[in-house]
Amino acid sequence: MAKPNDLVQGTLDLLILKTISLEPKHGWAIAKRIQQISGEVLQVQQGSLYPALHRLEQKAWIKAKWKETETGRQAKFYSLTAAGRAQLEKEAANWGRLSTAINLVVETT
Amino acid sequence: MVSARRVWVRLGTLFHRNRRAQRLDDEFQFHLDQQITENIAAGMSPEEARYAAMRSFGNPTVLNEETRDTWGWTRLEQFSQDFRYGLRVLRRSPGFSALAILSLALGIMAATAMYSVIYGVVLHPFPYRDVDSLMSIKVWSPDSSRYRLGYTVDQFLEIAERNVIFEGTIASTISDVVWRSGEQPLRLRGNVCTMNTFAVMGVPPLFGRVPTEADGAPGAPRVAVLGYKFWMRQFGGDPGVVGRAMLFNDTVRTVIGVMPPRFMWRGADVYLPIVFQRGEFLEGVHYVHVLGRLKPGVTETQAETDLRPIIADLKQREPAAFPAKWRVGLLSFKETFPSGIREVLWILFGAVGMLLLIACANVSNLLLTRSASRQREIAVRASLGATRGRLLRQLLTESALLSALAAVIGAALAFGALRAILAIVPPESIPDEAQVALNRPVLLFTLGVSFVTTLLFGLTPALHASRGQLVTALKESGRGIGAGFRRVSASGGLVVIEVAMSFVLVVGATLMVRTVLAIENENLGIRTDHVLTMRIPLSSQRYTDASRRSSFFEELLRRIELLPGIEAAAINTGMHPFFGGMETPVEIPGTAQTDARPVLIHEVSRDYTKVFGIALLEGRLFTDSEIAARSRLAIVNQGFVRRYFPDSEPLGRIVRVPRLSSESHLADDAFQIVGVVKDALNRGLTREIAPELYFPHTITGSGEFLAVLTNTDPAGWAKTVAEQVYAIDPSQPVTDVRSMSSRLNDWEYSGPRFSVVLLAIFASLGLTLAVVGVYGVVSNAVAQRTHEIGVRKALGAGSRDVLRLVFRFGARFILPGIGIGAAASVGAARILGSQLWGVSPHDPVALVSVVVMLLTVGFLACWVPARRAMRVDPVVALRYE
Repeated sequence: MAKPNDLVQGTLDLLILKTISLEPKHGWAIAKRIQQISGEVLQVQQGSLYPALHRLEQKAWIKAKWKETETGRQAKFYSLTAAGRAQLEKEAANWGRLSTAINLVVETT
Repeated sequence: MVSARRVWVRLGTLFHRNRRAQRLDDEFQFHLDQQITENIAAGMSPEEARYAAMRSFGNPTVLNEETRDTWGWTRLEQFSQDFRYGLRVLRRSPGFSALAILSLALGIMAATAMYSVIYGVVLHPFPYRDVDSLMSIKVWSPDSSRYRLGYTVDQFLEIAERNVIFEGTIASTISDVVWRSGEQPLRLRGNVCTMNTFAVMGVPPLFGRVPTEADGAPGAPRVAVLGYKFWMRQFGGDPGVVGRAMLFNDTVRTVIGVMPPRFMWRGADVYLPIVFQRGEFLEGVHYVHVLGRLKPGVTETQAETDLRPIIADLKQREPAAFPAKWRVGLLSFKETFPSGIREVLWILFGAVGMLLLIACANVSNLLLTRSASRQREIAVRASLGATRGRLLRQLLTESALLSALAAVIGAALAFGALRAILAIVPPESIPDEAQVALNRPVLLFTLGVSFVTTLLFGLTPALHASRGQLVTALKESGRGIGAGFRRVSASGGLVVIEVAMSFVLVVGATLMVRTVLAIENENLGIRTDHVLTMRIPLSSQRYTDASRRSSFFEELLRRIELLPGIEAAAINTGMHPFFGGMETPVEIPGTAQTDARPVLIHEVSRDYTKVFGIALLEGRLFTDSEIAARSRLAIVNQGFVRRYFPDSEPLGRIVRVPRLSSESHLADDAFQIVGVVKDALNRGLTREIAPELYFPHTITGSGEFLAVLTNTDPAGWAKTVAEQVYAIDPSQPVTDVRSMSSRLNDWEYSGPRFSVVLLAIFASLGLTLAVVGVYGVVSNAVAQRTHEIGVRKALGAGSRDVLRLVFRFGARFILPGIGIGAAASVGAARILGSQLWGVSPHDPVALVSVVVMLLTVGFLACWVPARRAMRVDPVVALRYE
């Protein structure tokens, strides 16, 4: 099982921001979503999501609200703030540059 | 925008920590429940589903901590833990905490309050612009310690017009001004001053305006400016008074302004700005005080060079006005108007400094003692993984807590102490302008001192703990015998210092007490009970010559003597024991005596010596007819006889008073001595008796002090006596109505009492703290040596041996402390010398009694732990083995 540290910290932030960019989600849903989309490649220890979520919240990139789920339970839903959206764009662009660069290096040799 | 939101979020986290922690648990629980539900849906048993969910989630406790770390404020959280723990530590040993906090608080209180007084009274008493460039002009003779600052109006004008060193030169007076508004005239303290006074002093008015050039133009309406206190007292702070016309000295003046509270130039109620003219006669004023604002960069030598020819010309015009050999120079404003208690205040400040040191030493000592007992606790913490930084932080928090509590209490006490000190400050001893308030920089300084002290000594356990002594400390099971010695010697040194300094303080206080006793026990040579005194200053406009003035007083005395219950009443130009009227040299015709030292002149009515109980030794007193006839007769005191007639008979001899003919324009200044009276103190209580000469008040009519001997409480007679004055002249004011004893108290006794009360308080506080120090170190040693004492007892040592052991230990601090203190007090007493009277600074009685006192209290402080040591049961003590 992959340890949380195996994911570069910035990458986990990017994943979280991207995941909630469409609609507010609670922690479990975020974890599930990351696993599904990545085709079960990115194994995140589910609990390690929470320190990251709270850190992002302290940075005011995401905000949280307690709401009822479809099943009628209270859950904490996270959504992007304006600053978070800007951060997402910045980090996505960074990621794009980085992965292109790495691809270039890997493929030419 | 982002940062604002971030701040908001972070503050929310700070203030809703507990709720957030609760909700974090809910969040985790929700996550697990979701996963469990999914797992069950996938076909697992509930049990299995739970374990799987928890496996995929991770360790909730670790995650919880990690998450909370992201909230930040960890330091703060630890601080609040340390803070609460610190409070618990303080509460756990209430005796220690109370002593430490109280010691510091007392030090903070005393130092802050005392320095605040010094700052307000000595260092920064005046509100005037750039006080350091305001200078008086002083002329003095190298042969004499006295100098003059007063000049006639003509002399002032000459100086003001010719000097080039001053930007502006002003003259001022203190004069009695009669203000007539209602039935009874009020006598005010007036300052007849130059128009430019307010501009030169550089203080804007509170209301209205100050005089300008235009107010000095010929024919311009006369103006007046009111002092703040008078304005508040008479007009209740009504700004509408500006523009009102008022009758001062029978002249109408328009009030143009009110000065702010601290503008108390010459302490005046009312300022009467005028344009000084040559030859002008100011009522009741011989001399004006001259003050100039020095131009920037003018040196003292330049000033002297500039002023010298001016004074030389003045002397050439009036040779008698200045001494034969004279010098001229500047006197700074602060020296011109010094506080009478300046020296006392500095001495008290020194005392307070010592008290602060004792307090700090005491706290250090307490902290060191406690650190010994906490050695084990710290070791346990360190071995359980507390880092050195964390330990330091914890101890730091505890120390800070201790000094913060002391700071709060100390500051509050300082506030009270300041008011208490001001309440006993002798009357008229501080400049009118002085405003004494708690001095914030000093408060911060003393707080800093106390903080550093607690810090320094509060951290020692942590420093010890980090020196790899963990194992030793743990092994020693909290007794700390081996590690104790160095600390004992460190705190022992502190105790020696405490004892030494308290010794110095107590010696100082003892010397002051002896001074006050000497002053209070002094035989004044006059009676002071049942005497009512007052001043009746006659206006020279309405009482133009000597005969009118003296007949007013003769009529007044006649009326007062008729009152049943009055024994006698008298008039004089001055009053025993404070001062005579004039001080001037005399001549004895037909002898070669050239004694230029002055003689005190009393111009009296018939019963003056009767009122004050001054015995007639030879000859006779004046008769009514002689007084009425203005006979040139004199009575002298024993001092006079000793100086001028040591070997011959004084009665019948002639004495000339040249100043009467030169200044008061008397044709005949020769007096025949008809009587000799007993000496009485006449220049204050602490100066030797000067030769005196009494002559009838009718000759110059310059008497103004009335003394009445009553057969009941003198204060009760004030109104009745004043009514006699009003009966003769309804517009004649009466001022300074007081009993002799209260006058003596204010003018003579309150000064030394002020120093003695404060010194005694500081000394007893210092002594108490030192005794606590001795007690602390000895009782700590006894506690640490319980085992040793048990062994000694088991081996056959008796109670006396144990007592000797403990006392010998205590003597190691007390005896050197007394030795050092005795040496230091020799120097300290010399500083105190100027305040002492009737007792030598090296008074053996004081020194010996203080030694005995310190030995007694010191060994009493050892006695309590010694008894504890004597009761040690060898069996119990050895059981710890």
